[in-house]
Amino acid sequence: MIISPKKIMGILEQNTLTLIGTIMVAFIIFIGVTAPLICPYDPNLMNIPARLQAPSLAHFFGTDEMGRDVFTRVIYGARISITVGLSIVVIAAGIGCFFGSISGYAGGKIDRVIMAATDMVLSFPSMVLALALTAAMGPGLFNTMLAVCIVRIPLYVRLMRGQVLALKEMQYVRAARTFGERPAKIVLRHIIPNCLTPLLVQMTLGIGDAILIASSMSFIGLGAQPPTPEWGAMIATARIYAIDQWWYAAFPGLFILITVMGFNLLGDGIRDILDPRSKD
Amino acid sequence: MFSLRFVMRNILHLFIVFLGVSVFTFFISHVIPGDPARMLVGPHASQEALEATRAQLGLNKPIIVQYEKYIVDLVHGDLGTSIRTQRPVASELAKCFPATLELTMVSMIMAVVFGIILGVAAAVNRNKWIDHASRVFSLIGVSTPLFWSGVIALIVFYKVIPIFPASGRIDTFLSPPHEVTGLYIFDGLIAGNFAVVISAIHHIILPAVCLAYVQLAIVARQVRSSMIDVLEQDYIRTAKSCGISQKTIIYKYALKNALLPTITVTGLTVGELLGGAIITETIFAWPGMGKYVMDSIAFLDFPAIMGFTLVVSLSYVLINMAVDILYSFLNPQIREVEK
Amino acid sequence: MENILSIKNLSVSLSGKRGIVPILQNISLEVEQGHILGIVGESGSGKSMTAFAINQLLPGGRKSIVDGSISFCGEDLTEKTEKEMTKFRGKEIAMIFQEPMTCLNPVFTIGRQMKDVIMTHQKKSSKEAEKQAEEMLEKVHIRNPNRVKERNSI
Repeated sequence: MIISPKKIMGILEQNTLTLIGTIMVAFIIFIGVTAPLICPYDPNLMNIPARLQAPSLAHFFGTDEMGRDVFTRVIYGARISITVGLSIVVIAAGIGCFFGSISGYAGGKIDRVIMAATDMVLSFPSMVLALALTAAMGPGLFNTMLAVCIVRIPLYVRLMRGQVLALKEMQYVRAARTFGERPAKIVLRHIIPNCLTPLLVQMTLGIGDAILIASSMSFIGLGAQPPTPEWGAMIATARIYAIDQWWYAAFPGLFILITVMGFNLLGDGIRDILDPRSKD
Repeated sequence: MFSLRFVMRNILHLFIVFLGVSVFTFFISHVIPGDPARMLVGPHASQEALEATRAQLGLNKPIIVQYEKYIVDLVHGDLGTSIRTQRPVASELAKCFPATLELTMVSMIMAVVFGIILGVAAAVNRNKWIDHASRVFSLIGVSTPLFWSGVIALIVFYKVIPIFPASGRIDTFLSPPHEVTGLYIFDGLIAGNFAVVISAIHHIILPAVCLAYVQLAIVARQVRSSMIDVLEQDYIRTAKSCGISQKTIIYKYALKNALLPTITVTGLTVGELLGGAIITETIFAWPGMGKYVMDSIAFLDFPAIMGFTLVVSLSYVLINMAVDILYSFLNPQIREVEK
Repeated sequence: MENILSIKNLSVSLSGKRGIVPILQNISLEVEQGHILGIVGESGSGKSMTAFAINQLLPGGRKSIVDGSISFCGEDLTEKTEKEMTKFRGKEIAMIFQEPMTCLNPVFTIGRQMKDVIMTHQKKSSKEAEKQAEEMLEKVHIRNPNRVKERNSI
């Protein structure tokens, strides 16, 4: 399944929404990476006399209650959110796929045990479980990431297990078994490469979801702690001033929206391009 | 109606899941934290209180014994004592429960009803403007953080165009209706107190809409997708070839089939609504369990947080089981097997 | 003898992801009153599509008919609107499908679906329609028609 860059460009041109999604994601990653270069101020630089000012040429998004430039903090927030989203998804997918493939391939008791553990995690609403885990471990961005990771693992376990179960019966897998290839090798060489598409789609969509849950945790007070310029944490403080100083809450949230929307569009687009069967 | 085996199997399954949830919450509250006793009494408690709790928890005893005590307390309805208010967590949650129930129910009805309407409209008018509009609408719905939509809704509809109130369940000068269910709209209707009913509806609209938006988007997408699948089925073509009108085909034949998977999605919706209630209730100062747990978090009131987790999760399990049973009942293929 | 059905130069194209694909090209046939016409061909040759075209059941609707005319008892079916077609379908023109397993809706009982069709075209009450459905099942020698009609077609 090799796709040349030229073909990708052609597909992107045809599929407007995916293109928009790619641009959005690229934009957010770009500003995250170039933050120190493009931001006019330091994100933690306080300037009390200039507090709670409306957007102006000096401060594009206005200032917060400590006089810090909201524009700068929002851009730095992109760094945090992208890192958080990516880390959660990569680790959750890694662990989830590991256990999912074992569960699907081995079957029997091992399968039952892994599925029981997965179902147990899924018995809790995701936000509630993330909340409880973070509270138990202590508030903080790292613990939140860990908690959200745990909450997301079952998704990948089930995904991988389903794929393995389906592909296990394929001719080339059976053939490999008759050659005496070891299970681990079969899974790695034959099964996983064929699961890449749905996995990639889920992971892309998952980044958006992870950012939503993690920023919600920060909003609640269990995630990133002030003065970290995390979008959710910023809105938590901004809420008090929101009625009169709308810019403080509006812009960080807008960027969350753009980021998550971008990943959702990108994920849907990848699904449409690489797996036409699942299209409408 | 259903075989005895079916009923027994479901009760057993429920019991096992309850057990699993309790083990997991026990693990979270007693095993994960560095000092479970300190978590339960809070950072400001005296040394004696800490020691007393340590002894009560029996932290030096084997895990099984600790878990036994946990379960016994649970069965008696003892969810511990709130650090913040020094009152039993169970009774505090019971007090807040109706407010959350009302908000969640109204949100769910909105999400399901409008989600179905939108989904059907999009599926039937595929690739026309209403389909594109509904897909954009859904996309924004699943991408918008709940805490942001709440704040923006307040800014727009409370400050800029002041048509909705910002907090509470009813106007402050009105007193709540005589309590039958705790649901103000319902109780108000029973009591014939229309001022209260109107005020309650007025107050619930904004938070319910914010909460519902996300789920509405999900339901609409699911319904659209199901409807499109169903409309391509052979039996729809058969009905059409027999001369049955398009309208009947959509609303009678196709919809019923398309709604089956939607029922399962509705169960998951409840979980998201319960989690989202935490945020929405906080923003709109809605006196429910969500706001309660938010206040508890600010205080690091661990017993309250864990009590909330347990109650919400058990409710979630129950509701999903009810949804599964409903699905089995409505899906004729499963129904035949289970009889 | 009069021609009940007369198809002249029928061409059908379907539009999909890869552009427009011609399905039928210049089909002409006639069926006289009291006669039976059998069409034989390999899979994919367009037999079902021709049948669907008559009843306006083509995927893509009326626009799929690119050229030609379909005349039934003197009326040109290609000119009819969807609403007008419903008067023909099931009453003047009936279709029996290849796949008996998937042709009926699984969430409704067989009897209910038959009743709906009867009531759409004839002015009968619910009970009369049900009775007629039962009679029809008996006519094709289906045993226990009153029980069968309560079942779903799984």
